[in-house]
Amino acid sequence: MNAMNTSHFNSSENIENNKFRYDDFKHLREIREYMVNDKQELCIERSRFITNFLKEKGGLDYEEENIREAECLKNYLQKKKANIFPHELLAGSTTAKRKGIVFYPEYMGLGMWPELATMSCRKNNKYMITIEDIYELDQEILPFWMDKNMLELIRRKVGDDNRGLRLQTLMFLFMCSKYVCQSHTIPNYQMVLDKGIVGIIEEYKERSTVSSPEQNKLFKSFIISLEGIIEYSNNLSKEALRQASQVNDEDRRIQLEKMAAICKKVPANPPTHFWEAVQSIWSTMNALYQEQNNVGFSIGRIDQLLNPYYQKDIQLGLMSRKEAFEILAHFWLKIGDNVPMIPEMGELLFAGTGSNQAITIGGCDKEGKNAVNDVTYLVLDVVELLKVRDPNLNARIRKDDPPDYTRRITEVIMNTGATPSLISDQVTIPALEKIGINLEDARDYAQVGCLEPSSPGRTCPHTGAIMFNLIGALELVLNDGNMLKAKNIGLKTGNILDFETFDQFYGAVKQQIKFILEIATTFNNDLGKILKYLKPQPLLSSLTEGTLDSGKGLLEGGAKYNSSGIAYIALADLVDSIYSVKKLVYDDKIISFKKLHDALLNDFKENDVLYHIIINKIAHFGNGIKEVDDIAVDLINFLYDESRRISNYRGGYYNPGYWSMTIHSGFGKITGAMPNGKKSGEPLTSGLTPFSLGQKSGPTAVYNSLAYLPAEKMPNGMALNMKFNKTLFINQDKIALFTSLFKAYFAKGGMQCQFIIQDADDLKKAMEKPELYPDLMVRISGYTAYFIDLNKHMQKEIIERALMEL
Amino acid sequence: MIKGLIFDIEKYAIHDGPGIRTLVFFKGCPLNCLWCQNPESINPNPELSYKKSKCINCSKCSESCPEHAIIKNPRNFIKNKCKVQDGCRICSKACPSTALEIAGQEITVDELLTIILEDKEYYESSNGGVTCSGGEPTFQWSFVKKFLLACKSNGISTAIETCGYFNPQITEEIFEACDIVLFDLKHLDNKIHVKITGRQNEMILKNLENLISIFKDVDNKKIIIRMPLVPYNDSKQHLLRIEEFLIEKEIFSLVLLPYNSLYKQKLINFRLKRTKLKISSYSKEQLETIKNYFKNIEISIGG
Ligand code: SF4
Ligand code: SF4
Repeated sequence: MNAMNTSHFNSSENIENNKFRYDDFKHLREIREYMVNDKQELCIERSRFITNFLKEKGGLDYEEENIREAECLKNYLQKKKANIFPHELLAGSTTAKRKGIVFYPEYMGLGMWPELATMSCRKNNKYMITIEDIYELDQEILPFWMDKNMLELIRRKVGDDNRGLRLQTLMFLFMCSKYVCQSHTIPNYQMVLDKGIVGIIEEYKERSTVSSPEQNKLFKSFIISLEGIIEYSNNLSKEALRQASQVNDEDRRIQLEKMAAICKKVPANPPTHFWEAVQSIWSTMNALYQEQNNVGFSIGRIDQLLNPYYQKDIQLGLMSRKEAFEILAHFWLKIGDNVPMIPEMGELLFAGTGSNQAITIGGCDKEGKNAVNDVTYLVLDVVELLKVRDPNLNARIRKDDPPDYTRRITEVIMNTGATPSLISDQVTIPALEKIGINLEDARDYAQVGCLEPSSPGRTCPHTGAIMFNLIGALELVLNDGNMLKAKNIGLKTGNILDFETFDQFYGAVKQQIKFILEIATTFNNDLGKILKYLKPQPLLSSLTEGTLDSGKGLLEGGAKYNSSGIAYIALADLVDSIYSVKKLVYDDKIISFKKLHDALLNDFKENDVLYHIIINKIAHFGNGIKEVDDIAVDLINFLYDESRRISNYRGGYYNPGYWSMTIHSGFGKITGAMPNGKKSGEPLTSGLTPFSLGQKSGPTAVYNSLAYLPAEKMPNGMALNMKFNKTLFINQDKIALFTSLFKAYFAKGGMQCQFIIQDADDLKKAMEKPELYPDLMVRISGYTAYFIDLNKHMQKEIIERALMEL
Repeated sequence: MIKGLIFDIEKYAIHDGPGIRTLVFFKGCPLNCLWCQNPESINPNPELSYKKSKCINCSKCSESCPEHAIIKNPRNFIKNKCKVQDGCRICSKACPSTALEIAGQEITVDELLTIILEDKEYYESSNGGVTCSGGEPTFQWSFVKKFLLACKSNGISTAIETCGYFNPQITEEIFEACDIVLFDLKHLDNKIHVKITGRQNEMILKNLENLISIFKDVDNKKIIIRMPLVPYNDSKQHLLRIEEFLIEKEIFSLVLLPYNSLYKQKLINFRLKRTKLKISSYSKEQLETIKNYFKNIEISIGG
């Protein structure tokens, strides 16, 4: 295929009925198989080059940190293997492997050291690695970083006795993700398309003439790292020419020559055509992912970025819709060419995690006009056919959406069983305005990571900065500052038997949360300061709006908007538990606090009656019962006020959100039985999804409870998982009712929702015979995972999650 | 204040009538069909239901029963001592596991309306509404009428599912209170009808005729004819008679509700003694064959 030269454009082409299948393309199926099924290989190329560079230059003290990082990055980009894989339409790859894991020794890379020999045989998420590479890591690379990684630097800064460090290491109450990444953000790809890298460099050069010496140094580092992208792209171009000279297939030769021309032109210069625009974004991504770990490095509003190029090529007859589909499909598969590295221990918490690169479609333009376009539908078609985990697709939903759009979204959800997840403009835009984002920029929001709304290209939101275990705080209150598995880690809020009123008990819970929050945010701010020195990120800074005018790097608060995100985990368990204590102990006096506490310590083993009363007779969140839902509202207001009170190290504030990836399962493991009926070791609730055993009133009641919550107090997003049995939707009419259901939820003020459309039977079978279900996708709190990648614990949870029956 | 006696409310019902609906199940039915899918609905009084599989054998029910009608657990139940018909709910409140429940809850129009209104947005976005089912909703007509009219004045579309056995004098009122009537035919032959439902079909057919004539050509009003498909009425000969009958009335569609045996567990839970039918569910192929008998009306399989 040659996307630019040959034209199959046909003006009567009906977009709605023009779905493509694998058979329409020569190699798409084969490329997909490769990306989905093939082994993931650990790639040490990056580590090798940056280690050698820094060794040569004398370590981290070489030059000012931005310059050091920029030179180091540029040096690597010059040498990075320029890959073009068979039949692929996009040049370049994140790692030197076709599907690789980037190794970042300065972050958690060291954590893999003990596992180097075993990671190719562990049960889930195997990583392949050669003996030579193990040797090189072991002897050459890792020793160099022993005293230069995040963990070691923070230990030196705060000392081993530091409370934050101790709690972080325990991972019981919170986790700060800066050890791993800071990349929960969206680079300004619009800027890359509009100006080209050369144009951006020009701007920084120009500004340098009127800036202070420090700013000049910063801009110099930006320019150096941006030049690295151009050099990398030139190497891609050369590689394309090299392959073209050797290939026998005439079609492929033309294709490769075309790709050589494209890589010569973009991202250095603004693209003119669709293919060029996609390559421009891809090459830039390749470079950005070398600067820092990709976790939730998101792409933004792809339909808005690409539509102008699509329209032009189609109108001029330079490209057919089918050709555009193929380019986009290749892009989609390439995005998944890298997987985050997770040590075995982290597997427990982050099981099945992809890199969570979110892509957003739909929504409105700066004036608030609906912006669904032809590329929006193209994306939906691609996702429907490919059914791959990454990238993570989010669809914005508005009242003025064309019916075709919501219909197609429903169809794609039905056909993939999981994606896209939905986010409502009606409440998200005001939520962003409330935290100080201007209306135009708020209207431009896109999802980051799992599902965190952010104004793309102009924000440093680090939306996944802190994961906070709310139910851990409750366990501390129940045991006067102790957790069952860790003593003396919380605030001594007093013996529960001394709480004479419900308000005293509830007050203690809030106090405990405040106490941990203080420790977690202080620690996160300390980490931020280390990061400024170790990983100042000149490239990402240069591709974020605001740094030019402020003359400051990203980590110094140079972006137009600054914030940090907290994900509060297990709010539903906390609400249920508080309500349960209120009813059982204080209002109805069914049982004394002592007896309740004893039953919890005993994991309800000798108190089956109490357990059943809690599950069946005490109301739970998610049934549309005001008295319970009001506790959720109160806690959300409280957490908003407390989070927004604290400033981060970049001059922004902490934003609360409610999502949990798979961490609710890990946090659940280390917490004991809870007054809501959660048993010891059982998973906590995921995101804001109600406790499955407490759901008695069907999906509309769940939606009613969720829509009742103040969305404007959840600027860091929220996740609601709704599981529907496929058998519910027996025909087109019933499928249309699925659309009506989520539309009504959003009209009532709901913020976010994602679905699992599966037969429980399917999942059970998949658990027994995983090899038969390599494609089975499920959605966990904001991202899609392959079912077989999940550990048994998570698999069971997904199966048990209450089926929403008719 | 007038109260209704209901035994269940089902939200997000998407397979009974158009759109997303809330189903309210009323207790009491004049018919007694052999295959009744909701056997707990027939008796117009509250009844105790016991799900053995959920019971944790805690004896809270027997400890709490003032009449000593339960000994240890509801497997030992002395029916004539029980005061459930007089409104006693003590044991079901005491039961922690929901093994013991009472079918038959008194409710006022306002209480019921409040529950219905919780899902108003879903009815609106899907052209759904509320459906009164049962049992036979016309059996408690004065309550049901008030309730449906209250729904209508709140902008909610209304429907009833009826067996057609009601006092012909309320036909006009049904028209007034309902946007949709789901009318269940059982058999055209009176003798067989008596045998399988316990009642004559004369009044049912008459009522159907009247309803059709007043619903006909009225905007936003609809009659949907349904027929439970059971071995007693599924012969080709009878089905063709049904087709002819409907065409005569200028009705050109029919919903078939194939029998299933899920009600058997309910018989056990309610200790109801009924003849257990020795028939199995229809296969896909059987349904296809049956559908093909009809040449001139549109058949859909529902339920
Ligand atoms: S309803 Fe009342 S009388 Fe009957 S068994 Fe229950 S508690 Fe006893
Ligand atoms: S109270 Fe409920 S669970 Fe306990 S014995 Fe009676 S029926 Fe069984």
